[in-house]
Amino acid sequence: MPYRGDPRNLFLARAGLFVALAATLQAVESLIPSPAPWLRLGLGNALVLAALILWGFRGGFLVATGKVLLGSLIAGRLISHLFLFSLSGTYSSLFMMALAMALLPRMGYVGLSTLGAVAHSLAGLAVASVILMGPAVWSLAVAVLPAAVLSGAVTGVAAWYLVKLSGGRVKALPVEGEDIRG
Amino acid sequence: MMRPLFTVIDAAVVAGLIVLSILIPILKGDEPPGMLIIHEGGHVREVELERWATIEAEGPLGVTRFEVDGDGRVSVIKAPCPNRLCVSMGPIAESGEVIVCVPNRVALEVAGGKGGVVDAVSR
Repeated sequence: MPYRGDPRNLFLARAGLFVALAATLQAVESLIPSPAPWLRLGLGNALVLAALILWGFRGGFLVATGKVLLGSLIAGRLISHLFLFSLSGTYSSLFMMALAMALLPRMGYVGLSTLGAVAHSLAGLAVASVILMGPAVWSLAVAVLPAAVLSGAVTGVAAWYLVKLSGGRVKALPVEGEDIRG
Repeated sequence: MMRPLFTVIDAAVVAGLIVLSILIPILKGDEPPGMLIIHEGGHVREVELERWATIEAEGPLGVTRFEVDGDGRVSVIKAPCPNRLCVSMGPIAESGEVIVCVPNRVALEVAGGKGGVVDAVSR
């Protein structure tokens, strides 16, 4: 049965679900051991991309902000230099994906997500070059960028599947194009 | 209209990013030559690590002689100090590496040039 109340409540509930999922994925991923700090899948970004596509920039910004604040809080890195990496990466990725969506309406999930992942990695390198090791970190780009392309593609497929599910089979998920202003 | 999963645009973007990630290190080209910072007593001087050279530094015990080879590696070849730790420290080449001779108050430090040495990455 479709929800007949105030549509703002619906948006609140669904955006809350997205924030919770994104923050949990980010926090859990940070617990998985990895041979290098920049080598992560970044599934939380799938939720940001899905929110961007379903609700536009407002929704994407909300989920990205919730993800980075709550995810860092759960993982215990909110007040540490690692938070700067999450913060800069998440917002760079958000702006890059939003820009690409606006400029290229025919670009698919994989391309958007890949651009977002690369923006995330470049932001991380920029932060590292300022606060950690100086310009030498840019030589890491050889390894970081291909990894970002790969993880971005996987994340893009995840976002695509999430939005596909939202067609009705999973009632808690929003429907593409629904009005969020209520 | 449902946004597609993967289109020609996506393929172009992914291919472009892969090419970019390969091109970055190539385009970066040659790094400027590193500098060797020499501390002797209270003085500091710098020399470029470009070509082969033998350099001497004065200390209270005498002359510490070191050699720069053509690849920018620096090693101490002669030292007046008793246990010659600086000689056995071997060549240094990368930014941030140092050789110190405490008894003779001489320290050599490489700066710039080949990328920095990262001891550890904390996360």
